[in-house]
Amino acid sequence: MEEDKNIKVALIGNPNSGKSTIFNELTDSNQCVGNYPGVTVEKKEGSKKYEGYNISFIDLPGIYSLSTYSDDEVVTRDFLLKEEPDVIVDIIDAASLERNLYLFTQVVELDIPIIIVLNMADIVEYNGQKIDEKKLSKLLGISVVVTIGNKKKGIGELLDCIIENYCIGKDVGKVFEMSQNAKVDYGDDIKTEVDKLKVLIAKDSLLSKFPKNWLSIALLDNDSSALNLISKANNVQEILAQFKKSKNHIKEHFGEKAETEIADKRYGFANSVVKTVVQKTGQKKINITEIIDTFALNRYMGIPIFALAMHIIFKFTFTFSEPMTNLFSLFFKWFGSTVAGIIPPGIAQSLIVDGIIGGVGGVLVFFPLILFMFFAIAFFEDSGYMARAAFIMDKVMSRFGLHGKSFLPLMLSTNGCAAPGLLATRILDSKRDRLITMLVVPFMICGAKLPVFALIIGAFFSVKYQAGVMFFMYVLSVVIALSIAKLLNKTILKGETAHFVMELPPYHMPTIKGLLLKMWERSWMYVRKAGAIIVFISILIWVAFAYPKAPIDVNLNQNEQAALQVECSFAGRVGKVIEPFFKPIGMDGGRAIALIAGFVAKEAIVGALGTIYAIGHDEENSQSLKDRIATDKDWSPLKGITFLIFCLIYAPCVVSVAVFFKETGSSYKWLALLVVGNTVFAWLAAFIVFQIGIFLKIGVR
Amino acid sequence: MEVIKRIAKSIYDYWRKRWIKAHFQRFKAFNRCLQHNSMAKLSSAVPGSYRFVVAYCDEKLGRRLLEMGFVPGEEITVITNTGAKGSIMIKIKESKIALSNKIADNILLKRK
Repeated sequence: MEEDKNIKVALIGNPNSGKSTIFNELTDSNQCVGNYPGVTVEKKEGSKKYEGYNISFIDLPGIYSLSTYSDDEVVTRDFLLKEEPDVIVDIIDAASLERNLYLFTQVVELDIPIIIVLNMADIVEYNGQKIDEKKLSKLLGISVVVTIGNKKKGIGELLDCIIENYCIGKDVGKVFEMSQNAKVDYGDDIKTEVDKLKVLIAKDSLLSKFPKNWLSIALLDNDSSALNLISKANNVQEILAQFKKSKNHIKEHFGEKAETEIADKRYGFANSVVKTVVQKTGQKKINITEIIDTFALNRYMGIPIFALAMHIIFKFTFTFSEPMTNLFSLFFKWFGSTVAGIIPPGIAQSLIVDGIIGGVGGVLVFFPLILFMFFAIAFFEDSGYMARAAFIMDKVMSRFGLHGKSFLPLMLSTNGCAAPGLLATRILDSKRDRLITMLVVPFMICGAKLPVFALIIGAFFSVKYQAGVMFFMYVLSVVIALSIAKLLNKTILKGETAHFVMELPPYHMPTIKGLLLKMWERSWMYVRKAGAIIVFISILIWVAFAYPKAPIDVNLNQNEQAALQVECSFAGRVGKVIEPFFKPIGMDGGRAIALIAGFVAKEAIVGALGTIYAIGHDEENSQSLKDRIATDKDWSPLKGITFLIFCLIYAPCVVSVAVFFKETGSSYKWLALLVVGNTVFAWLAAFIVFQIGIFLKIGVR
Repeated sequence: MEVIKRIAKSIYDYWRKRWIKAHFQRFKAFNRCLQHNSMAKLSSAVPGSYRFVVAYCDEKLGRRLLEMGFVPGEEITVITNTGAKGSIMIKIKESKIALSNKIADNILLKRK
């Protein structure tokens, strides 16, 4: 066998055609998939060794065509043009073959070896149709592989096919010859114009690197990227003159614009292919998607059903995770006291028991909650309801200056993480919509804020009301996000929202394996974060609270000694300095320190509180953090709610800020607005709530 | 009790009448428009099958519509239309697409 050869394979296809599922099967990785368009917004790489070849797969965001305008589509086009993959795998959703073939007709013009993958073949059979893949392969002269992405069918064949095509791909002439049948015949008129342009393009050294055929057709198609490429050439004027002449000629001849004519020819080609290849085998079975949609997208029932679905998520999460959360908290209590028994009292014991177990345990207690929440969310994502929710919410969202699609990033950051939510804003077409959405995404209650909310709500409300209060906090976060969006819309980001056009994927029953995988992957991220960042912050906070040591006064009992220690420590002193700022919103220095730690990662708030309360109390009657807060004299339900409101609004964590900075094109202006603006706003909101609460004596102890 | 029932019934009747009237009028207006001009707006379409004629919009959106399958002469099936300020769901080339009414206002249809 020869030595390893590297093959670069690009996976492309329409949005929601199952690229990521196939990618996962090919590379044995667990990338995030979902049943709504725009799950993948960034290219992702994975590799596999197969028969002595080193195949690297690149999963690209879904596109409808090579002409692009939203940011995720630019990623795909730039990759195909600039990185020159060895083989392209075009993944086609077999259920809507014609529309998917439209993209294929464009990509095949790039003169790169291409393989068609007919995905979701089972759905086609269900619809009472059959696609003759051998006929398709013969007709186009291109290898066709049938797969069922989520059932691992046809993956081996695909790998064989890739290698076969790679070997052919080395011979450029052969590729050209092979794909000849697959290219659209535009008719003599367009062809002559294309040839004229081709001659001019071939003259320039810079442009001749790109496939001439594609470039000239793209030019006639009025493709903005092609026009950009041309403007760098030496003979721009010549090409542009010819381009205008050709366009006018086509317009005169057909009475239509060139791009319409070209699209028409492409669709004509796709249609004829579909007609020869697809056979009807039986009666179409009852379409479940239609039936559910008549209810779920009903004018009157749409929003109530959506609200009900959200409520079910919370009910499910809280009822099922409650016993497990209690079990976890018992375990950490036991673990803490056991470790305290093994290690002799002193600095080491304090560090491990108070610092690490107190901090990390406080975060990990909420692991079951996160687990169940992700499961419920994953179910809604995979079933295809998420895209409908965007459609339902468009009406509401557009009133607040947001786009219906903004809902998807917002949902992604709710219970997920704000960072992927910020990335997901790439699916929005207009810059303005994207910026507004990015500014409000951090207000959502992400998976890291969830433990903070669960802790405080758990401490002050009985089990009966917990889910309700939690639901209220979610509603509050949405209300804040929407009103901020409205405010931005009225002040600095004026303008109309872009129009809403979106494809609604068919419903399908999520597989248990898929759900568990998704749940596990996201929850594991949470645990990993607790293992690395939270341990570090916990230790830091422990050090800040434990040093310098207070003088031991014999007259004081243990509790008073602990309080004295807190007062003398670094953190206590810093807390004293910043306390005046936090006093009007009902917080002491310790909580202020926890909030500052929360800027690094939101889970750290719980971790820091755990450490602070572990130090501030004696070891003997160790309670769980929740009970400590519930019985502490300095806390009251009002202070808890104020704390949560501050948490909800103030500056997002460092990771989100970094992503935000990158995605806004390194703009310091927006960065300052996000970090400073949010913190000031949070303080004001908390101040108002706290003062009103004090005035009306609600929830005061 | 009797009074409440009566009030409820009268409110219900009023709304029902209005609803029927509005829908009937919409239906009539749409059909008349189709008859006289042989074309009508998608935003006022009653569920059924039609053919796409043209979309008046900026280049960006026009292109997106084009690649989603809005080619002149293509069959469009209107599934639901929630009226003004609402949205429209259509089926084109075997895929379901949701449009806001703002776009649908600029799309012309003709009889199948």
